[in-house]
Amino acid sequence: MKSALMVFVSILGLAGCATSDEFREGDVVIESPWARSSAGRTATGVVYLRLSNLAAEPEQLLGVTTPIAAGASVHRTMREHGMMSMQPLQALALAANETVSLEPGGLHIMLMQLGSPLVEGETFPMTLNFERAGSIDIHVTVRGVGAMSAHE
Amino acid sequence: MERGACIAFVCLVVCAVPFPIGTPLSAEPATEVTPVASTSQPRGLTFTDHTGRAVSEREFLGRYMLVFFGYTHCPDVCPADLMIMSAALRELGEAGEAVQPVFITFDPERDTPVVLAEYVRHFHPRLTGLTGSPAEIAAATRSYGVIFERDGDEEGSESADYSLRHTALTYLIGPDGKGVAIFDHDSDPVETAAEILALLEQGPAGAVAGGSP
Repeated sequence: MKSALMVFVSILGLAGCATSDEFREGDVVIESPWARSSAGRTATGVVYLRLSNLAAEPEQLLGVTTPIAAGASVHRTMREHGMMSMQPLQALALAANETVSLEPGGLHIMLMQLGSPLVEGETFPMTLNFERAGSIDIHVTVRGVGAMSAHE
Repeated sequence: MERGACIAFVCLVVCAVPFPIGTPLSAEPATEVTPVASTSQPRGLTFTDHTGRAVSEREFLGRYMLVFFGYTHCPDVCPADLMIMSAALRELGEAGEAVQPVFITFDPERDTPVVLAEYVRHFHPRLTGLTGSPAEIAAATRSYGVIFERDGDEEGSESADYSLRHTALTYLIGPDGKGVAIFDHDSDPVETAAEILALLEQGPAGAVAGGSP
């Protein structure tokens, strides 16, 4: 029964790859990657997405690269005593069968030194490097600067 | 004490008393701050707006202002709060026209008028961006109790890419230049609009009366 369920889940996963905003390699699925328009600026940008580790073992996101920015790294927005700050993470750990959402106000991928401003409606390539699944190439859709989710 | 009166009360305290830099500021518990009567007059703050024009805060007297302090290099927190401000004004409809939305940068080194002009237009057609000399901005942040400090340089980035730790509150200022209400980071736009509407209908005098616990 369990293996039949896994096959079913895998088929769902493969079927999902046909849609433009879901990406899968090995046991890692990346869904709905989106960025905010950078409002004409080139200094920083921000990317949000959902990561799922379908494996029974832990996984780690080790790094992010994109040709459109000089640097990209996972950050967590923290709040302490009313002060907001961002803490860079060395790696983002995913437990077995865990899904982690990078969304406004929490985890995000920060882009540094963009080659040109991120413009609403455009897409750009990005590569996520995982400890076990290896490199996964995705396309990120740019939403409005005030967007709070992938579907605004 | 009802919630509207509570936020008005907190704001009277926050806006009337310059916080020493480094004081932990929390929007929620009013007990962390000492109540004092709001006797502050307009503080004579000066800025440069996003068109490059020198402006004084006195020019805003007679209108309500919704003020958020942030910086344009802020990728996650500031766009969210400016979007909430914009959504709240949209929610207010015609009543929102009595409110002037204002974004004040605490990063004047990087946020020049040109940078602000490109930035503010993405949030609201009437959003005014204000920058100034470091001394002008320091006076403004002291006056509002805004706290910000430079984070350590990020790994692998140049020092020009510094980010800032900062408070992220939105202030409703009355036509007399005094604080009326304070809204926390990540407030709900519809609730924010409802509270603003109640305060607008109450008028500036009513807002001040909300100061007794």
